[in-house]
Amino acid sequence: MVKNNLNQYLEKKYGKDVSKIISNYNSQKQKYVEQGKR
Amino acid sequence: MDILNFISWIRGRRQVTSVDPAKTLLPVGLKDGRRDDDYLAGAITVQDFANLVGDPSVVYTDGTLEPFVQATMSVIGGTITDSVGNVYKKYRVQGIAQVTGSSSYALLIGVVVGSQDLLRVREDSVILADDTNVYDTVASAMGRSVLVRDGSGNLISTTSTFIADDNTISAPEDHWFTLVMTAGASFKATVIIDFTIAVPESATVEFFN
Repeated sequence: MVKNNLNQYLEKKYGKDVSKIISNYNSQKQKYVEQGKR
Repeated sequence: MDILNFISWIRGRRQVTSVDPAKTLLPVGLKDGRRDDDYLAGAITVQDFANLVGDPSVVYTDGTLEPFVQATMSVIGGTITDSVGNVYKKYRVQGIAQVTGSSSYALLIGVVVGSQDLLRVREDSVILADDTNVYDTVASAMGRSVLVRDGSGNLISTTSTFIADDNTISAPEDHWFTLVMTAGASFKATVIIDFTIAVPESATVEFFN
């Protein structure tokens, strides 16, 4: 139930799209921070 | 084993009050749809059974994307049934994050995969303002402003503290849980992550960090 390596999971499920997902996540993180500062 | 044998064992003084939990087995019926009677006889150690029904021991692992966050997820006892009869199993996410040297943080705790439907049912996370001149620790629930230690060792209030559940990043069944904290200046704190989610019992759920 607990798997340690998120990168391996993402690569297996999404293949070449992993970098796009990480980029998407980083941009969401920035939104969270901006919302938090308001 | 049948029930008459079981009763005779008790009469034979084989009822015990303590056992070695790692080496002692309990009989269980394993669901097996291939059998006419739907169940296969099996066994589970007392230790594993106790972990299922009690407060399980956990081991944190370092995050893949966020090495400053250690976390894990474990199934806990009890279910939640909503008013229309849907049954949810409960999973507890626990971990620790050390934050220092910035005025804002957004740190991935872990990704729970397997079900678009997911409930947040409990939040027990705590913020500790490390090594302050005024207090050793300041604890608070999430979603509120809390006091943390700034660069001079004084206490300042955060402007936000929450754990986001975002399932728009990769797929609807992938929930990216993220700790978010912001303040007006750089600060230092230890965050004890502890929250419980519930997921439909039919879903196979996994946790990555």
